[in-house]
This record gives sequence, structure tokens and C-alpha cells, in this order.
Amino acid sequence: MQPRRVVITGIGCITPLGPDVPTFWRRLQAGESAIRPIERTLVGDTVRFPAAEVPDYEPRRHFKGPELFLRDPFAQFALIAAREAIADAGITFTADPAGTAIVLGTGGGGETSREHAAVQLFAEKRGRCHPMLVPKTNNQAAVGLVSMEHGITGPAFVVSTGCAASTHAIAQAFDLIRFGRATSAITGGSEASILYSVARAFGAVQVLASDTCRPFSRDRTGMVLGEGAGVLVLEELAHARARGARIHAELLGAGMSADARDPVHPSPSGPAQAMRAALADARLRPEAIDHINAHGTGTVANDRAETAAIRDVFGAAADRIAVSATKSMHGHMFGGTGAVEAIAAVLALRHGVAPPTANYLGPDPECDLDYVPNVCRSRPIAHALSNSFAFGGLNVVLAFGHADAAEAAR
Amino acid sequence: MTAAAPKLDGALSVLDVHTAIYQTLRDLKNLGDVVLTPETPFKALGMTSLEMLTLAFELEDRWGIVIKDAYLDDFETIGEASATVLELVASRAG
Repeated sequence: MQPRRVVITGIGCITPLGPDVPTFWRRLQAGESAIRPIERTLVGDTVRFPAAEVPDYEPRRHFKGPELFLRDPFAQFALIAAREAIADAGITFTADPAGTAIVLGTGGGGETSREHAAVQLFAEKRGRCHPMLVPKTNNQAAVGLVSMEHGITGPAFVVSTGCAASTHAIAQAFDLIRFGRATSAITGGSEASILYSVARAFGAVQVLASDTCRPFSRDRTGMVLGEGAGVLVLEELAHARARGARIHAELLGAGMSADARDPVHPSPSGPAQAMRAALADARLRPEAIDHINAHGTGTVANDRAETAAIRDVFGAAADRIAVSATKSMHGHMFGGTGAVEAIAAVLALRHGVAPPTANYLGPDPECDLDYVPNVCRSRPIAHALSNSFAFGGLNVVLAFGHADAAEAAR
Repeated sequence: MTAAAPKLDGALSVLDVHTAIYQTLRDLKNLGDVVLTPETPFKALGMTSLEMLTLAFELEDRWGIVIKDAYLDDFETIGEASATVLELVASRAG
């Protein structure tokens, strides 16, 4: 069976840069970083660290009644981004509710509620949990809530691969449509875990930045926690055309791999294998790629390994690729980050603008690519990759193509 | 959703507690124009045991108190619940 073509017809996000896609894209192009020094106090101990929080977030503006009590912020963010993506796609589900899949990613699911319950149990010794704690904190909670809110009854599940979760989720949704299990999919992911316990835990791994996130830059000190959600509506090309949908971009391929090396230290071989697999899946030559939204966390080890991987795959052609690390602006949104970066890549294709890598101070001898330092760049982009790598050495890469090719297809 | 123990300003009034209970009940039940008073029975609002427990968690978080499950079964009116909250806050202060 010839795989079906899959296009992106809707995008939605809530990020540290703002509550929706237009705000996200405007501030991303402007190179504005949402990273600020913050603090979290729990049971009398305070931890201070830089982070990128969703600004002025008021759950009451989005949810009412019992919803306010029964939804963890990670699910709230997913629901808000899904609403924007579905409205953007102009898609409805009543005619064929079983034809749409929902595949979302998250790293920790309901970490906020879990930490809160831990304090109630162990510090305050309340001796009981709220009866909705389990359904509220389950990693699949957001998937179930999106299905309920929109009446979608097709295949629905969560993918949990930490920092790569929403990219892996998109890759799964892509295959569900390509191979005929669904005609459309709501996919992406979310995270809400800028918490005392998470800051302490990641601090212990010694990967958190002391100042801000400066991917690929000299004097970079590490990653910065972010939060939020990104959701895309994927659709079989014929289905999108039949309903006259506006096409943002085409999802051409996905590549996945495991380093099989080390729990935390990245290696260039796994990411290179995933990029090659994505190119092969998309039937693209390396020279066809104009832009990469890098994993680019800002840690010394990731950025060095990712640069080596890109060099390995693209050779001399790597020098003409605009490599952007948007985590410098929205932080590392863990299970939501890959979807938000996929949206950034889709917008870069659509508008012919590579977003900048913010907070860049100057070259590091081990990072010698064009990272679009600090200022965005207008340039035609026909094909783009979006990279995501997770602890455990789990890698996934998506390949996108400009909408023109899909529009021209008959 | 902060779990830090709230400040106790020593000036908590019965009105503060009533206001907090009214707000939580309106969030939980979509009560529309229903007028809430200290005499309003929880039963009249159709509160389920899950909703009573959710109310208790909200009040506990707000004032750093623990309301025993047994009390929840005994509350008949908003006034009874607020009296217990005031007692618990006062005993915590002492």
C-alpha cells in the first residue's frame, strides 16, 4: 500500500512567549526570550533558578466550574492548545468521530498535582488524597480530556519519552494517518512542571543553566525549564483538499533511533541515525534541507553532540542550513517542547523566516554551524527538520516540506 | 496551587470564610442566581461526597488546616462548616 500524504492544517500553542500562535511567532521572530529568574519554595526550602513560565496564566479564563479542580495544569495547557489548533484547522468531528486520532506527549503528566499531594501526605500529614488525584495526574489525562471536549472517538493514547515525547507523538500520529488507521489526528504534547521538586532534581543532574539558555554559544551553562503545550492537526492530504482546508506544511517523514550508550550523556551517532532515517522516510537528499529546528538545549554536551551529528549527516551542505535553537526563547518545555518546535519549523517554512537562536554570545570552537545568532533571517525554506532527543538516548526527527508541493499535487 | 503554609494574619473573620466557601461552591456547582447564606444546607445544593471533599481540600489549602473526614459528614450548612474552619485556624494559631 502506498503511504498516504499527510499535511498540517491546524496549529495551536500556549508557551512562555504567550497564549497563542500569533504571539508566539511574533516574539520568536523578534528574538525575545521569556526566561527570567524565579524561585519556588516548598516546606520552608527555597530554590532559585532561571525559567520560562507561561505569562499571566489564569485558569479561570479558560475553564469553569469543576474543571478548575479536576484538571492538572499539564492537561489545561494541552486543552488550550488543542482548541486553538482545531479552530485554526476549521475541522469538525461530528461526521466521522472515529476517523480522528489523538496522540499527545508528556514527560511527567500531572507533576504539579503530584507534588502538591506529596506535601499534603508527607509534610502536612493529612492522611488522605483527593479522589481525583489519580485520573488527574495520569499521563493520559490530557488525551482523554481532549477526546471528551471535542467528541473524538478514534485511536487515542499518550507517548511518554521525556524531552522527545511530543515529537514521538507526532511521528505516531503521522503513521496512523499514513497507513490508514485515521484520516486526521490531534497531536503534540504538554508539560507543566516548573516545580520545586523538578528544579531540585534537574539541578542534581547538573544540567540547569545558572543564567539563561544560550544554545550553541560560548559560555553556555545549561538548559532552562519551560512549560506549555503545542498541538497540531494532521490530516490526510486528500481529506484536507476535499474540505478546502488551508495547508500550513506537509509532514514528509519521521526518523527515530536509540543511542544505546548512556542514560544522560548524548552521543552524535543516535541523532545522526535519526536524521538520516527522517531524510530517507521523506525521500529527501541532505542538500534539500534549508532549516533545522535543533534540539539545542544549551547544555555543553547536547549542543556539541548535535553539532557533530548535523556535520556527520550533511557534510559541507551543513554550512548552508539555518540551525535555530528556539529553546533560547521558550525554554525546555519537556513533553511539550518538540511540538512547539515543530510548530516553529512549520511557521518558518510558511513564512520563509528562520527564527533566531537568542542569548548567543559568540562561537564555541566545537559548535561551528550557522545558528542564526540573535536575529531572525528571511530566506526561502523548502524543507526543514525538527530534532528532539531525550534522556535514555532516545531520538526522533521530523521532516517538513513547504505547502506549495502539497497544494500542487493532483 | 502553592503548597506553602499560608500566612496567618490573625484577623480571619467569619465573613472571610463564608466568602471562600461561597466562591468554591459557585465554581463547583454552577449555581447561577441561587443566593447563598450561612443557613444554606449543602444538601439543598446537591453536593456529592466528592464535591464536599473538594471543598474541604480547597479550605485546607487556603488556611493550612486539616478537616477530618468525620466532620465532613456532619456539616449540614455553610455556617457549620465555616465555624469549624475558624476553630481549626484558631487552634493552629495557638
